[in-house]
Amino acid sequence: MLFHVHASSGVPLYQQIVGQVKNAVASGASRAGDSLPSVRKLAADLRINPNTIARAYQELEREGITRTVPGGGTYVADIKPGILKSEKQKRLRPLARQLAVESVQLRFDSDECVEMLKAELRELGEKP
Amino acid sequence: MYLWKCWREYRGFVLGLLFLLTAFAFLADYSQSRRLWWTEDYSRAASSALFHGMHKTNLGVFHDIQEMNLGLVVIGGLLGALFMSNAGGVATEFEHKTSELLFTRPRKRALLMWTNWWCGLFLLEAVLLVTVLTSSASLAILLHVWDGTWFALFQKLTVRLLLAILAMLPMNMMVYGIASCAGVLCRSVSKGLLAAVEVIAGYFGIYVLLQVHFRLDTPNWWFDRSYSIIGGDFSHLELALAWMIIALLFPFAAQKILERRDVV
Amino acid sequence: MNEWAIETRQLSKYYGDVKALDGLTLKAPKGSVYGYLGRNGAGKSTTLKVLLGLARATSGEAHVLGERVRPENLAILERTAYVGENKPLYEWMSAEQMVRFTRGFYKSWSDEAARRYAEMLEIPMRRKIKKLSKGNRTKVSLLLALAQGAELLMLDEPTSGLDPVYLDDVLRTLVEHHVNEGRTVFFSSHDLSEVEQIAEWVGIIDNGKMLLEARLDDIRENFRTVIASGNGLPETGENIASVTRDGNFRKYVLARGGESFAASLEQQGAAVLEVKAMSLREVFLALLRKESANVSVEVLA
Repeated sequence: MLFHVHASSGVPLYQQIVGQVKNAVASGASRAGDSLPSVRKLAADLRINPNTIARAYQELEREGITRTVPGGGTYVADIKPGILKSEKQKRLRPLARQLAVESVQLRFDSDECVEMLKAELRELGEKP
Repeated sequence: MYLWKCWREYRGFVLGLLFLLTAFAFLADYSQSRRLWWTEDYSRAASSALFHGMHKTNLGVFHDIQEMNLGLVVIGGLLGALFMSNAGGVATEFEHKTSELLFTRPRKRALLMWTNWWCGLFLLEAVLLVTVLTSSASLAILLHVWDGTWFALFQKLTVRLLLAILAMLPMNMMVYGIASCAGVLCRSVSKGLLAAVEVIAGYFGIYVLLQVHFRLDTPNWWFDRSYSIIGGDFSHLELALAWMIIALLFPFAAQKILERRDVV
Repeated sequence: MNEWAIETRQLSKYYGDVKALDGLTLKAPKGSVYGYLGRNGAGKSTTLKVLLGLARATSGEAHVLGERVRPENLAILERTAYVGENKPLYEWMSAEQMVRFTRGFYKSWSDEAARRYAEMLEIPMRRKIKKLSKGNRTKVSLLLALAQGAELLMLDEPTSGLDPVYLDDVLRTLVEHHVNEGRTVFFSSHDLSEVEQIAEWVGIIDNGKMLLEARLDDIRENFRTVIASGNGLPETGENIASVTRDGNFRKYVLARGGESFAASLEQQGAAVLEVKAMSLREVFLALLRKESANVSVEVLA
């Protein structure tokens, strides 16, 4: 896995890392059994505090996304489909909210908003 | 390792001083020893005869050589003492802005300062010693005279000069102490030097005033005078020790300054 | 056992009339990376100098690694590695000689670490210091500090004047060093993006006083910029760190509760255009810019 963090974005770094792992898993790029880089290596590569990485890994383990093997190594866990789905939903929801908020502010009604969404999906070749 | 650093910093000045003094000593010896050959045919026997003749009368040239070398020891010692702290004294840490490097090492400031000071003093005295020995040795070579009489004179010269070094020790310590203390006080090597010169000149002025004008017996550094101002007679050794103790008060003051004041 | 690597209480240092430090209260946890920020002349360097005993405090007290701060506290000096702003070194020595000179002072020195860092930082060890570039000089200073094996690293602007490549090398080395158990890194800096990368704690000092001391993540999670427009918008309020005005528009910087503040503005009928998180630089400027700040001393967390 490759990570990239924005220290100045105002989002805590550990959250960014947690988010990136979840994205990778949700999109299928990372699968169960794939290994994550060690805390030390990742900290050195990203030039950030190792405690940040440690915190992110703890969070991921707590949520069941990863598991740590005693003796070393963090791996993507066998994730239950339910968890996967809820992660995917978590990813889409803020985007949906943003669309909703903007629509309200620009005084679109819900039909116009949904219509716009369907148009975009059609362009991508998906069934509405 | 600090001692190593002190040595390396003093090294340039010390070797330069040594070279200067030995060069002068050699020149003095050379110029005077040539006088022995003036009138004769430069043969060994002739110079020997001349030398012995002089010995029987009034020392003559030898006396001059002695005086010259003595002058070198005295003046060389004083100037060396004055400029030594310039080369590597603790004041240079302030000058080169490395005080926050040295004084964040886990060592007492007193230890650092005194190590530096004794190192400088030792080197100074070592320079004078080597100068004297070199001078005597070069004299022996120049005169090509190895018989007993000459040897006795040679010994007398060397011993006299070594005693002079010892005699100058309190004075060297005094000047060196004042210069290094002034450097620490002023946080600058050049300002310290100026201050030291002012102090010494000032004292000299007071001395002249009191001694010559008011005819008061004033403490001085010359080795061959004792004075009655404190009542009673003191031997030269006691005076020398007293002066050395007084001289040590200056670096002691520097130690106190380092301990009390901010060093950045 | 004391959990603070550095702790000060009402620490003051006056130079005559000038109050370099004015009742400074600082707490840096052991094992953390603490970024010490402030404007030029705010008192960052003075703080370090007083903590190390190089300058004597006028009043107040401080402890470093549990030891009372005073001039010539050798216990502190033994366990702390310091690199000053000007990275003082002996010009006539080479890096190798500086290493030899320094190692004798410390029981915890590691020759192996010295070798490793020298290689990692690619320092020309045989060249004389006076011939080294600024970047290399900084690296040598850092090498000496890291190889010392100190529990606390105190660095005054370690990356000032370094080009981005050197800066990256230094950051990488600092991060790797910090991985070792229980070691604290306390550094002052003007480079806020560098602080954001590696610091866990941040302390902002202004005019000799602590303005804000908090976990960086807490700052990230709490500080918000709220941009709104409308009539009768508030000028001051709880948690408002600064307000910028332009006609009907207001830009608020909230120290906490940004979202609820925005909601309350909307309830009053204002149009809230943006509620967003802030970079450390934005927080710093909001707190220290004269025109907009109306801060009181705050401590989050």
